[in-house]
Amino acid sequence: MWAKHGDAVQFFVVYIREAHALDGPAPMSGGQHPIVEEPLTLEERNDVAALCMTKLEMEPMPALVDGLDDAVDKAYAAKPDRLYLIARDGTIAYRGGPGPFGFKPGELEQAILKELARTDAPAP
Amino acid sequence: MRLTPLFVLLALVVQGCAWCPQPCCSPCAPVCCGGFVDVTRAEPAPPPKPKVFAIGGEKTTWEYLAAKYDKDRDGAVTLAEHGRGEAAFANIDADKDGKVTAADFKGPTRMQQFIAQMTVARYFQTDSNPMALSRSELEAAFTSFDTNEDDDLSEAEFAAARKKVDAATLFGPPPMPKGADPVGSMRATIDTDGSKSFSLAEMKAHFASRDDDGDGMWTMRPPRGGARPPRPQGPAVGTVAPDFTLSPPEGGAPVTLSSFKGKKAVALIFGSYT
Repeated sequence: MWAKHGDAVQFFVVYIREAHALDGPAPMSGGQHPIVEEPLTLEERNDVAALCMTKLEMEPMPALVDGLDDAVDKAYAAKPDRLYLIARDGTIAYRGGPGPFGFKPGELEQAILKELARTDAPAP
Repeated sequence: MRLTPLFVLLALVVQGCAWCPQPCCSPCAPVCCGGFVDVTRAEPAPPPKPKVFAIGGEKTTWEYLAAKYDKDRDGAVTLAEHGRGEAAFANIDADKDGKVTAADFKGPTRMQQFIAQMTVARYFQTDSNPMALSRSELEAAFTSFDTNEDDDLSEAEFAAARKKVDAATLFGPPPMPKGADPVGSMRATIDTDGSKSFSLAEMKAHFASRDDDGDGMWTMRPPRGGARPPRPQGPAVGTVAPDFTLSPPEGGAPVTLSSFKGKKAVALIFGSYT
């Protein structure tokens, strides 16, 4: 999706609090699952975010890291994972359901196509 | 030309000296000579901080924790050795004995127990009420799956049963949390004798262990203590997107969401590695 629409739409991975840190309330570590402790500093969260982007082969899509106060996570009710599309006029064009069950990339793509087809969007 | 100062100058250069901007009363003064400091005697770089994720090939959580925190190699990590706060320590000290050992990771994790229960609730339903699973439903479904009638659900029998249930369901198997392993979670939680099959006795024991009120039913109901507070919804479609300024993990210029207004739509993919 990013390869197809990355020129017309700005994509960002917004890295938030770990969903299943080994020392968190819902650990799922070891075996096939990555072993990650809950970061206690922004530096640690940056390290995990960079590892995630590499291991999941999401580079060179740009990533941004939420602060340890989880302010952006809370503003968007994002955890554990979620998709949003912000329209060119700065409003919410698409709000996906909370993951994992609501995380539907197909819906995001439909929203992107609808937004790009709009003729009343502000001119760049 | 006086040779002595030039000879000294050349000797210092050969040693690897550099111009020191500090005054002679600074800490580097003892090694300074006329404004030069011996850079070959510079302070060694501090050791890199340990990462918070496995990078040494550790396969299990205990291997990772022991390698990183068990400084005295006594097979146990204490709160003091761990050093990442009491809340985090309490989450990994499963048996609450005040120390983290391999024994704390022997049983199924809370997530594995949850996924095991979700999987059983999914596949052992025999009536049209997906919100409840009775013990009799569980036993009836087990009997129908146990094709050789040996009171034991082999891997093959259970695989065939899942395929049949998934095919009969309009939208196929439900999505699972990232990295979830439904059958592996069932094995970790329910297969207590390690036989890689699920006996009727094991299934009944699992059902009983999750039947909090002992009424022979698993039901979707609020937790003890009252209803769970409603989950935050996030900003609705059509409302102004909450603005933010965040930085990339590798450093670099921060990014403000509102800077894209009037220019480009922005797709936000929220998530984490785990």
